[in-house]
Amino acid sequence: MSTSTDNNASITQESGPSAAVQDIQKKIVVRTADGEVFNLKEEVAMEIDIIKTFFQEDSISYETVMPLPNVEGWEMVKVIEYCTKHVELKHKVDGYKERKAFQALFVQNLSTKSLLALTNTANYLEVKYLLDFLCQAVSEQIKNKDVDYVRELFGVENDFNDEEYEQVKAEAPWAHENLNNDLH
Amino acid sequence: MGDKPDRDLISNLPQSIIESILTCLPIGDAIRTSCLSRKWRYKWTTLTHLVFDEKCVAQSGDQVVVTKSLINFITRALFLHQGPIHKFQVCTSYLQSCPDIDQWILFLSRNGIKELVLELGEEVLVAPEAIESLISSCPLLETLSLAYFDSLALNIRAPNLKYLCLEGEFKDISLENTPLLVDLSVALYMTDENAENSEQSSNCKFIKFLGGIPRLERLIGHIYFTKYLSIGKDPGVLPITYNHLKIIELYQVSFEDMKEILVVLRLITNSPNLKELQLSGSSLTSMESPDLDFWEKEGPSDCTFHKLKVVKMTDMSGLPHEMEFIKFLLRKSPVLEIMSIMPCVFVTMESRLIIVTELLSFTRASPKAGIVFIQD
Repeated sequence: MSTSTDNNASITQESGPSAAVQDIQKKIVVRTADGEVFNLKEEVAMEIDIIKTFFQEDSISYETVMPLPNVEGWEMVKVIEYCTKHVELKHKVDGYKERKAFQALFVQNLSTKSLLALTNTANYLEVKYLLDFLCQAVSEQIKNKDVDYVRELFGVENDFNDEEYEQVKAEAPWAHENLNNDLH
Repeated sequence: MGDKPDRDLISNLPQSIIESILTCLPIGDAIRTSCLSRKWRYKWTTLTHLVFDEKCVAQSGDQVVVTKSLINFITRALFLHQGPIHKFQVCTSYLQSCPDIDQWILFLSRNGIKELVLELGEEVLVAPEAIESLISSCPLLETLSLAYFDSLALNIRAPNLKYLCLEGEFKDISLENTPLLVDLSVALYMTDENAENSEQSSNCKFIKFLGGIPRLERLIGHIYFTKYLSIGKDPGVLPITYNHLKIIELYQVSFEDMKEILVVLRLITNSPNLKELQLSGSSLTSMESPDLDFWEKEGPSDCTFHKLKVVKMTDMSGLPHEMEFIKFLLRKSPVLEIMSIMPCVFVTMESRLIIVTELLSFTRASPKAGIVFIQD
């Protein structure tokens, strides 16, 4: 399953000062935990802080393939998708609707498990706006839901004994009112 | 929804991610996570952003019940909370005459509060001394938003304050120690006292309010802001220059009130880096407007708006002083790009034509200046 984003990747090396030519973008290469190799456009790669920091070291040339042992291939695909869109919308004056539509589609087919894994990855890769968005998406899944529902959804084991549970609940009984149970 | 996952997907994520997720939730939901498992019991308690409104508690037709529940909710949440609280926000009309607010702010002042937002209903009885001392005891406070405080005389001492938003009937406002203020947004309703005293008062409200904020970058004044500032003696040459002030928006400026337009003039001539100016007029019955060369006379003789690029005038009635002001700006703004003018809805087609004809006759210092007349 090849998921390289660009089959025509070429890595150009700057030697000495030269004017940047717009259509020959530098590519940055990363390798994920499962051995997948990705060629990223430089402007997209620089959205990912951990990559940006890595290549800012003087000793690292752009020919280096950066290892990302904590990231799965499918996650990298999604991150690249989001960052590419983000870069595209940066130049648009009124991209609000487009961004919203894109975001809705982005999470549409993600299972809760995948969503949380991706959130963790966005945190590791240090892409703040993606992390913020994914945290928001996770919170949408549990808004107004009761404790049992949230446990089911996330696979959280209830390790309270009955007495303890009643105690915790009694600390904030008012937080258990006002739920919209129709959403179950 | 599918089957329960075979392992816990969330509890072992870094606390920073958990807090980000919890911060997106309504506070009740966040607190409820304490019941998920032992691990979760205290995860919510270190949240640094707490936001409350009446949706936190069960709705009821009985206002007293809702008020009591809400006070209880907020107080108990603060009790259970641990660690610093950087942002505290309460937006509700249910908390009238509520002494608990003092307690909350006192608690917050001891817990590192940086951003305080209180948008409460009318007739909130919080003593101004209480608010003042509580604000000044929050040394880290950077953002403060107070809405609907009636007849309040307020003196703000907050050395780290950067963003201030005030809305209400303020008798008197003084920014005594807010040297870092960058953004000020004010909507002032007129108190009866101010309306009566506008001739007699000797102290200068302009200086008391705006005299100590040299770092201001953005100023937005709604409703009676310019009227309020015009109360008291004319400050003459201002002792302060707003070198960073780039955006000024003033709404409902009465161009028939000489004192108000003097306020506008003082503000803009003391903002050498002003880029964007937006004014809306307040149309009253047209009166005699003497002294039309006011703009030339009162401004400094070499007055030029070197950085002014955009001017938007709305709710214009075509009053003589409005037109003179526009003429003045056009002549003194060498890099102006847009001068947009929107007439007030009551202005007849005939009057609009007169306005447009007059606009076209004005000389423009900026070769790039485009005049846009907006019809709705």
